[in-house]
Formats: sequence, C-alpha cells, structure tokens
Amino acid sequence: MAQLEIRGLSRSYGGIIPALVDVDLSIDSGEMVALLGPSGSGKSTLLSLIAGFEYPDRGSVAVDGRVVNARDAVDYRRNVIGVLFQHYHLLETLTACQNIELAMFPTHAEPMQRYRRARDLLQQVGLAARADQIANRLSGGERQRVAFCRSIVNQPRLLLADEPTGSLDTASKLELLQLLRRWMDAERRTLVVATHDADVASACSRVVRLRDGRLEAA
Amino acid sequence: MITHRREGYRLRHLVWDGLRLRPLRAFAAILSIAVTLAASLTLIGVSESLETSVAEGYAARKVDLIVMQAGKSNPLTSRIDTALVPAMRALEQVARVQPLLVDTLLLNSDQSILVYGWEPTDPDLRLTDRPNAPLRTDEVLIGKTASRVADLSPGDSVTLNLTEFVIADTFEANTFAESGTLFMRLDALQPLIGAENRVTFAFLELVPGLSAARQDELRLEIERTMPGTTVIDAAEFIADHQLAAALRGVSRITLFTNAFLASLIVGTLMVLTVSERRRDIAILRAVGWSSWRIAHLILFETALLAVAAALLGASIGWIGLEMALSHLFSLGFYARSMLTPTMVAGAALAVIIVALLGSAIPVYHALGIRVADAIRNE
Ligand SMILES: Nc1ncnc2c1ncn2[C@@H]1O[C@H](COP(=O)(O)OP(=O)(O)OP(=O)(O)O)[C@@H](O)[C@H]1O
Ligand SMILES: [Mg+2]
Repeated sequence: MAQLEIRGLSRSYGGIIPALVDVDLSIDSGEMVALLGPSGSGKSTLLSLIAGFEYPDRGSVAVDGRVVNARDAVDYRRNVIGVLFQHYHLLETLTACQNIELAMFPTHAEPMQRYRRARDLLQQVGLAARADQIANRLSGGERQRVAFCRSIVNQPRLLLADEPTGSLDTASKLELLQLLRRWMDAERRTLVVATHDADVASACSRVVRLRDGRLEAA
Repeated sequence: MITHRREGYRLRHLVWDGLRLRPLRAFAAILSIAVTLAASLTLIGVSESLETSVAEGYAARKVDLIVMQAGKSNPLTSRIDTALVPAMRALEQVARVQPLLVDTLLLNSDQSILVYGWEPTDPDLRLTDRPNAPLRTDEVLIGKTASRVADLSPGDSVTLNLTEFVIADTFEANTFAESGTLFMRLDALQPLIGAENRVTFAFLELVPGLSAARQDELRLEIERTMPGTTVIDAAEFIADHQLAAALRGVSRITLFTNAFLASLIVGTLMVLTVSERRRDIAILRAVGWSSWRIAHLILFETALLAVAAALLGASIGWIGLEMALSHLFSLGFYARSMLTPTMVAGAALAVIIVALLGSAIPVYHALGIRVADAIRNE
C-alpha cells in the first residue's frame, strides 16, 4: 500500500465550481511529487485536506494506513507531517531560533535540547549567524529556510509544501530546492509540493496536474 | 529576553514576549483589575473594621443583652423607665445592669454632639487622676476623637444645651462611635433633655455559662414582665448596627460587581489579543500544538496579568483603607484596620480566579480558530 492514499476526495466552498472533485491519488514513500495547476485549481485545498487543516465533504486521506481526521490531528501534525507555506508563516516577532523551537513544544524534548536542535538545523541551512534575528528582519529566502527547518524539525514522514518558492527570487528558490533535495536524499521521506514553477516541477520525481479541482490524467 | 539562550525558549518566554509587545494593553488590564480590587478591599476593610470595633466595644463592656423600648426602629429614640433597672438587677441570671441615656445635644451653641449619660458609679465615668471621687454633675468626659475635632481639652468649659460644663478628662472609647461623644452623669443628662426617670438602653451582662435556651427564656420573661420593652441579643444589635450593616451590604454588592467587571475586562482584552494573534495561533496549531497547549498559553498570560494586578491592587487597597480609616477618624469614628494579610491574600487569589474565569471567553475564541481559514486568508 502507498504511503499516502487519497480516495474520492471532494471539497466545495459553496461556489459554482467545487474546489476539489473526486480526487484519487496514491503516493509512495520516497516520492517527490509536484502538484501543478492554474490558480484556483485546488492545489492548496488538496494540501490543506492532506494536512488535516479542514474536513473533506467526501472521501478520505490516509497516511501509512491511518485515516486523517481533522478533529484530532494533533499527533498527526506533530509527528507525521511537516508543512511549508508560500508566505512562510513564521511568528514575526520571534527569532529564527525561537520559531523552530516552538514546533518542538509538543514533543518530549527538553527546552535546552530544543534550543540546540534548532541551532543545529539553522547551521545546516547556513543561517547560524541569523539564529537570534527577529523573523521580520530576515529576507524572504532566509525566512523560508527558517520555515523549512521548522517543517522538518520533528522528522516528518511527509512534507507538504504549498508554493514554497512563490515569494522567492531565483537564487533563494534554487537554494531551497537544493535543501529539499538534500533532505529527500538523506532522509528518504515523501514530499508533495504545489507549485507554478517549472524548476520546482522538474526537480520532482513525478508531476500531478489539477484543473478545476479534478486530477488530469498523466 | 536573553535568558532563553541559556535555558531554551519556554512557554513563559512566549507569554512574556506577548505581553511585552502590547505593554499598553497589559498595563490597562493590570491597572483596571488592580483598581477594582483596591476599591473592593477598601470597602470591605472599612466595613469589617467598623463592624469589628462595634463588636469589640460591646464585648469590652461584657454586654450580652440590650433592653430597649419596643417598636423603635432608631435605637437612639428608645426610652425606658429607670424603675425597671432595679427589677432587672433582681433577676438571678443577670450579673450586671448598665443603664444608659443617649441624646444629641447642642455643643457651644454651634454644633451638635452625641452625649452618653451613665450612672455615677459606672466604670465608664471613672477618672484616672481621682479614681475614688466620682464625676460631678457639672463635669463631662470627652472622647479622643471629639476632643480633636472640636479642639477641646480637659479644663475647658463648654455649654451643652446652653448649660455650662467643665471637661474633666478625655476617655478611651470602646467603639468607633463613642470616641466622638461626651460622657456625663445620667442624673445630669436627664434633666438637661427633659428625660427624668428615663434611659435609652439597659445593657445586661449575664451570669456565665447560661445556655442559649435559658437566654431566650430570660428575654421572653423580661419582655413579659416589663411591658413596652424589647430585649435584643448584643450580637444581633451589632449586626443591625445601621452604618456597619449598610456598609456591609454595599461592600458585598460592590465585591460582586467588581469581580464581574474585572473578569469582563480581562476577557475583553484577551479576546482582543487572541483576535490579533489569530494567525499565530493557527500556525502553532499547524505545527502540532494541541487545544490544551493553546489554552495554556492564554491562561498563563491571563494569570500573569492577574498576579501583577493582585499585587498592585492589594497595595493600593491597603493604602486606600488606611486613608479611609483616617478620614473616618477625622469625622469622629474610630476604627482600627481589621484587614488581615490572610484577607488580602484571599482577595488577591479571588482576583486571579476571577481573571481566569474571564479568560474562558478568549480561550473559547482561540479554540474556535480554524487553521485552514486563518492561514489561507493571509
Ligand atoms: N476558504 C475558502 N472559501 C471559499 N472559497 C475558497 C476558499 N478556499 C479556496 N476557495 C476556492 O476554492 C478553489 C480552489 O482554491 P485553492 O486555493 O485550492 O486553489 P490553488 O490551486 O491553490 O490556487 P493558487 O494557485 O492561486 O494558490 C478556488 O476557486 C478558491 O476560490
Ligand atoms: Mg494555493
């Protein structure tokens, strides 16, 4: 069985066109999947449902054989998945290091362990010197690297990224892509990334296309 | 905060950073809760202090029962016949009877003062410098507060209802009210106010060890054999003490309204904070924070505000009470502060509980935030 099993997933926000219609998708462990599609095609909706941030109208998402339920997704969000957003979504008034530490609060790690691990990750992404910088004083590329550290800090099996390069310049984009690749190679985890960007898509092992909330045949 | 570099970032740092970011709101919350606490404490303190000093006054005189005229809502208008006093003394359950006449007199033609008339042998009229010679009919004693307010000292002459008297001495009052009065002989006061053979009260001290049932019997017996009188338990009389009772009522009501206000203030300010941090809360949920952890964050912040407010409020309240009591003192009421550290601590604890109750609203608000909405709408 695939690591991520999506069956008949539908979601509508009450508009004329449903956001997601009857989506079936299987993704194996170790895959790096690009989710392509025009604006409004349902990419974010699909990722949000996989992350358990909202409920589907119909259908189900299962990861490693367990159905995702938005009602008690706490363990799932903490242990199974990591999320990366286009707009980083850092706590703007906290430092880079603190932002990463916060993601470890729900784990058993001691405060000092959390701190060391956060510093360690920042060092790995080349931000050791920026660790104590307040998030809103960091550049976009730096913020996304901090957000990346936060998303993988609890060693998720599945990383969900919604246009992670959408706000980045080319250099920062390539840097992030490299980080993602390196992480994939080292940890053998799974990545699903929604994107408009051809560079991102070509870096992936598989491309899935959405249009008007439906999957297009490959 | 720099400290987290040595110990790692903790929930308390997050709370503290949140407060630091909104210093004005934190200050407003702390100050408004502190003021409601201080106001409550001052009122309760004054009411407790007055009540206690009344009670202590009666206890010092060893008054168990008070006989007065039946059907008088204002005790000072009570008049009973002095002939009843020997009859009361004849009762075997009664150890001592202190008759007392009370009235308001014109002092030096320009102010009024409460005057107590005691029997010449009453210990209340004893003079410190001539313990064996009783007070004369043309002499009065003045309470410490009255002496200060009216600027009168021993040796001064005064007129009471246009009759001349000499101040023989000052006295230490048993109750806050008495400190603002004059004491004189019953047989001097009676003709002065046209109340020959009349007293206002008879204070009864009972023989020790009388059961409650026997006390009730005695009360009924006196009321039956001495028509027109009513017998009141001293404790009841104190509880009915108009000023103290009114204050007690006001302070209880104010306590509730203040508690309600404090929790409303905290609740509202914290809802504001939660609304502003909608996105932050959604992010924390997205990275695996549970509802409980989010609630913990809000409760922690509230508790911190409440503790600061409790400390500040208790200090202001204490000072407020001292000021209120010294003001009362200047008005002729003597009461020492009955606010104990335990009571202050209790009030402070109540504030913290009330604040936490108030944070139910923001917690509910925070837990209702839907991650998808809050994050996607950015
Ligand atoms: N909270 C919402 N309320 C109403 N409609 C929504 C909501 N979220 C998404 N939609 C609608 O659902 C459809 C799919 O939106 P979604 O954000 O998933 O598209 P997308 O592929 O991520 O687009 P983009 O590339 O612009 O990010 C769109 O028509 C969008 O307007
Ligand atoms: Mg999108």
